[in-house]
Amino acid sequence: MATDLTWTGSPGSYAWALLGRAFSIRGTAMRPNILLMAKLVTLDFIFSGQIVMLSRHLVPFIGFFRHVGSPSAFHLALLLIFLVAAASLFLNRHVRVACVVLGMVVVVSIASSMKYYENNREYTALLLVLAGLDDPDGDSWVLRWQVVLLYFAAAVNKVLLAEWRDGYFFQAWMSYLHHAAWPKVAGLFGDRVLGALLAWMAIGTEFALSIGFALRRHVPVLIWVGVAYHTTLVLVMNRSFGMFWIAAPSAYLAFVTWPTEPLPVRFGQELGRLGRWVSVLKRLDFEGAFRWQPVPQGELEISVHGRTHRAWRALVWILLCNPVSYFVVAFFAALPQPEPRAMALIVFAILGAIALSAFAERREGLHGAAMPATGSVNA
Amino acid sequence: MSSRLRLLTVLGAVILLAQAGNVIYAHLAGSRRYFAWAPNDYAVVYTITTYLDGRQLTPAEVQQRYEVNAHGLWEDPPQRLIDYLNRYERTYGAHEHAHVILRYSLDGHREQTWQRT
Repeated sequence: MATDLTWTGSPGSYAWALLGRAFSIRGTAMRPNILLMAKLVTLDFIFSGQIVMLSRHLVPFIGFFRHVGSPSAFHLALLLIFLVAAASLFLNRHVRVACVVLGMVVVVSIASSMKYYENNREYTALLLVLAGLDDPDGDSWVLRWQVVLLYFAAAVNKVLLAEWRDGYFFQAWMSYLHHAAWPKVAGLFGDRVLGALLAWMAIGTEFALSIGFALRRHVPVLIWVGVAYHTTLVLVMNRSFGMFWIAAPSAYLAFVTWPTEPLPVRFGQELGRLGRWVSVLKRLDFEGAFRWQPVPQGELEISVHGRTHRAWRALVWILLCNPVSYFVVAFFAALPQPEPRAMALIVFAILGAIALSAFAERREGLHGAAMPATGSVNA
Repeated sequence: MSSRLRLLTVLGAVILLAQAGNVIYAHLAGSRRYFAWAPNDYAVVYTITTYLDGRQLTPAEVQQRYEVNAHGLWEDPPQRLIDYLNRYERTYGAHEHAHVILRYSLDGHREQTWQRT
């Protein structure tokens, strides 16, 4: 359901409607999950400051770019094109073209500057371009294999390097970045033992993610592990690795089937603190993703994919099925901050809540049959 | 699926295959790993020293010249840093005949030196 942007004479209402449109992911020429991915990546690109790092055509890969005008004008042109395309994307206008343009701006930026080239920017560009090329009636297999390729190639590169296998890389990397703490911690183990252990953990995780995503088995677990992996890197290194922290997890949305129909949410009148949450969540349901059903008595409940979640676990699922949650997390993770690991800790708290919810439901053997399933967020 | 959508999907598949091909090529071709998904896999501690007309540039001048810190950690293959400095001096700095010395240590190994006059 698209948010109505008709001017009603109230700037506040119009701004709210505009925000609602930016957060909306349905009713466009793209699959909702892919549009959400593209918007998250674009949001990160803008608010993390990557946008101001767009190339000034210094030492280009392709010599042609040395002759395309002044570096400042070139940079400004890229920046303006990116902003116009981003506005189009967030207003849900010509979303596929907008995605291709956004991606191509980054591609041109890379082609015009060897210094600008980084893997995370290349990945960002490819995700946006492939999102634009994605068939809205298909199953996004190209994007899914892009994720597989990233992890597989990264793992292969590491395993082929003797410095990785033998722990030299981690030893040198951590010694440089954590020169005070690393020797003390690593000293508890033998020579390069901790370095080799961490290296093999990274290699194993990347291989597991690539194989798991290729086979599409246990996708929710893989997504959890993938987000935890990237967040661990942020936590340990206290940096977001450019676009990777947001772009890599956002790409997992290609493995998710977003609910097509409003999800039924039932809530009793005596919810206590949860009641206040329900009021906020109803207000943040910009595109009618939920069918809010007040009932005289009972807990907060939501049915997703034939399963009913109750109480605080329902709250977790409502947040998971509302795109606004993803925008809020991505926004705060993107903002340049002196301690990125603080946001990483918050992400770990969210991951913890999700894991706890899954374990609790498994333990209780909750299988909802109270309401019919109307959508799914499964893979 | 309409023919236009099919064409776009094919284009996406070509992009994917090109990447896969490049990954294989990058591993066969040498140590640069351009576009081969090798993110932050190298710990290169380096120092760039540049002389112009016999005068050594300050770290700030080196940073301004190359937009790279004079001393720091480079997380890509060192050959890429060499490529970058080399290409800069061949093009932008061609008339200045700078003498560039790059000292670097890859993953904690013995220091190596590359230079260009």
